[in-house]
Amino acid sequence: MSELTLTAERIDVDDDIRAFTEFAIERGWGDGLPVVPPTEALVTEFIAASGLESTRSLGRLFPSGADCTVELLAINAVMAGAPASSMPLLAAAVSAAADPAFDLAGINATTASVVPALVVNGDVRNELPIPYQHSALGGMAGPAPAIGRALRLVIRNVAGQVAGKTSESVFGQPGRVTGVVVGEWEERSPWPGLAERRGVTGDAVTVLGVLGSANVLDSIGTNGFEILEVMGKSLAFMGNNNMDHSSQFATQLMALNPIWADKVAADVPRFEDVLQIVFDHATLPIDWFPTSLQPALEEAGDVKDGKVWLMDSPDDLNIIVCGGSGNLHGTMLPGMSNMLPVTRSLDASTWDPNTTARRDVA
Amino acid sequence: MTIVLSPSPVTTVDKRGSGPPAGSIAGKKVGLRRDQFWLSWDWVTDEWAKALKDDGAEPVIWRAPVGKGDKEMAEGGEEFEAFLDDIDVAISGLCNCGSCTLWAIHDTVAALDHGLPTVAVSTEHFEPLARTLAGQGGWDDLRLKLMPYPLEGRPEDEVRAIAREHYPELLEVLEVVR
Amino acid sequence: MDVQQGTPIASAVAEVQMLVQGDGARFDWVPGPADDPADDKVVHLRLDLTEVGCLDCVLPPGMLVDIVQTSIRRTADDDSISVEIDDPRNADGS
Repeated sequence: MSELTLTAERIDVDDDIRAFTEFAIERGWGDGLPVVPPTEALVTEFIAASGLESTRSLGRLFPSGADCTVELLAINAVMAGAPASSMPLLAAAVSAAADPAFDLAGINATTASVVPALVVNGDVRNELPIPYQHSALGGMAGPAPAIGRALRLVIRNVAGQVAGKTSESVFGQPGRVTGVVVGEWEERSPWPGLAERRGVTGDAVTVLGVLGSANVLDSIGTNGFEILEVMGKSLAFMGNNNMDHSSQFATQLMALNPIWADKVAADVPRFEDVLQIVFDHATLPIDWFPTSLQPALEEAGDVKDGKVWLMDSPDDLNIIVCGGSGNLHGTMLPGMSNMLPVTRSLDASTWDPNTTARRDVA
Repeated sequence: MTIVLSPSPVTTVDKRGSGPPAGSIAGKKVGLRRDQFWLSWDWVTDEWAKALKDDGAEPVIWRAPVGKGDKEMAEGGEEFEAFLDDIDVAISGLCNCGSCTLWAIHDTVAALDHGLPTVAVSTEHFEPLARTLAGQGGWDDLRLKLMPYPLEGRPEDEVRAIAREHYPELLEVLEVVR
Repeated sequence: MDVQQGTPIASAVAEVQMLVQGDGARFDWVPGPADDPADDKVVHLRLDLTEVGCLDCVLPPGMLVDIVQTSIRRTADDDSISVEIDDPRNADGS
C-alpha cells in the first residue's frame, strides 16, 4: 500500500467527548449519541485495517452523489465506535449499498421507514463478532450496533440523508440509528447460507432494504407446514409495503430459529418448496381490503383468484436461520418495494463495479 | 483540543456528476417533461410512456408552459415543483434549439437538484449546448439521451418508430435495472 | 482584447461556437478599440444570424452573454475575462 494521504478537512475541536458530541450535532454529523473524535491516528488505523487504499471509492452514495472513499468510511466508523476490524465488512456493505440495483437513492428519500439491513455470512461472524444466536437482531453486547451505526453515519454524512430535508420518511425507525446487523447461524441451518445461495461463498454481506422487524409467534409449532403457514400469513399484513397497488415487487426477509428450521426441513426437504409454500400463504382476500382500495389493486393486476399476492414470485423471499434455541418465534423483516438485495464478498478483489444484482439470482 | 477529520466529503459546486441511477422503475412514477414546440417530442414521449407502463412504471406527463425567447419562467413554477414532488424519475426534453435547450436543461437541473434520477433528451446537434448548460448548473456529467437530428419534420410513423428503437438506450442511460 | 491563435482564449472562443451553431448562427471575433488598456480583458464577438431560420430559437441575448462569458472564463481558466456581444436582435444594435 502506498504512503497514506488523508484528504478530509481537518478541524480543531475540544477532545472532551461531551463537547465533541455537541459540536458534531451542530455540524450535522451526529445522530445524538456520543461520538468518538476521528483523529488522524485513529482514522489511519482504521484505513490500515481495511486493507484498501484510503482513496479507493466504494461507490457513489445518494442523494448527495458523493463518492464514499475508504477514508470517509474510516472517519465515520471511528465516530460510531465500531472496531477497526470491522472495516472490511463495512467496506463491502457500502459497496453493496452503492449498487444501482439496491436503489439507495430511493431508500434514503422515501416516505417509508426503510433501512439497509446487513446479513453477514462466513467466519467473520465469529471474528468480530456479529450475533447470530440469542438476541441476534439486538441486545447482545458486542460491536454490531456500532457497526450498524457506522453505516448509518455514512448515510448521513456522505450520502446526505437528513430527516425532514432530503429524507421524507414519515416515521423513521430505530434502525436508522444503529442499523440492522445480523449474522446467519450457518452451522444450524439445514440450507446453504443466504450469501452462498446468492452465489458468494466465504465472508460475505447481503444488504436488503427492510421496514423494521416484527416478532412472529407460534407457541405450538406442530410441524414445518404449520410454521411456514404462520410465517407466510404474518408477512401478508394489509399494510405491508408490497400490498399497495403502487408496488411492483418487494423482497421479503424472514428469520427462522434453528428448531423451526429443522422442523421445516424435515417436512419440506426441498428449499424451493419452502419458498413456494410461504409464497402461497402470503396472500389476502381482495374483499378484506376497503372497497376504496380494491379498484386500484385490480387495475394494477395484483389480484388473482380473488386474492392479493404479497410477492411476485417465491424468489422474492429470503430466509435466514438465526436466533436462540428458545423456539416459539420467528421474525419477519418486510421489504421495501422495487429494490433488490445485493451481496458482496468481503474480499474486495472480487468486486466488479459493473455488476448489478438481478432478480433471477436465487 | 485535538485535530479531527471531517466525516463529510468536500463538495465543489461544479462537480456534481450525473445524479442518481434510476434502479428499478417498476412501481415508480416516471415524469416526462414536454415542451410547447416540438410535435415530434410529443410523439416520442407518447411511445416512451407506453413502454414505461409495460415495464411496470407509471408515466406522468407534464408540459412546460415556457415559450421561446426571453419569456419569464415563473408562470410554471409552482406547478413544476408539484410535478417534481410527485415523481420518482425524470425524463426532460427536448433540447432541439438554443432556447428550448436552455429551458429543458433548466428543468433538468431542477429535477437533479431535487435528487431525482434524471435524463435530458437532446437531438444530436444540441448535445454540446446541453452539456455546457448542465455543467454551468453544476452537473458536469449529465445523463443525456441523444436522438437523431432532425427529428421534427419527419412523418409521425417514422418518429414513433425511432422512439421505440431508442427506448432501450434511454433505460441504459438512466441505469434502469430490469 | 486581441485574440491570438493558439492561445487559451482563442480555444475558448472557438468552443463557444457550438452554443449557437445548432441554430445556424455563428460568432465572429472582432478587435476591440485599439490602444485601450481597459479593453485588455474584454472579448468582443459579433453574432451572425444570417443563416438562422428561427430567430426565437437562438439563446436570448441577455442569457447568451452570460452563458458565453461563463464558458470562456472556464475554458481559459481566467475569471477576469468579460464578453461583449454585438447582437443584431438588440434594438440599439449593440
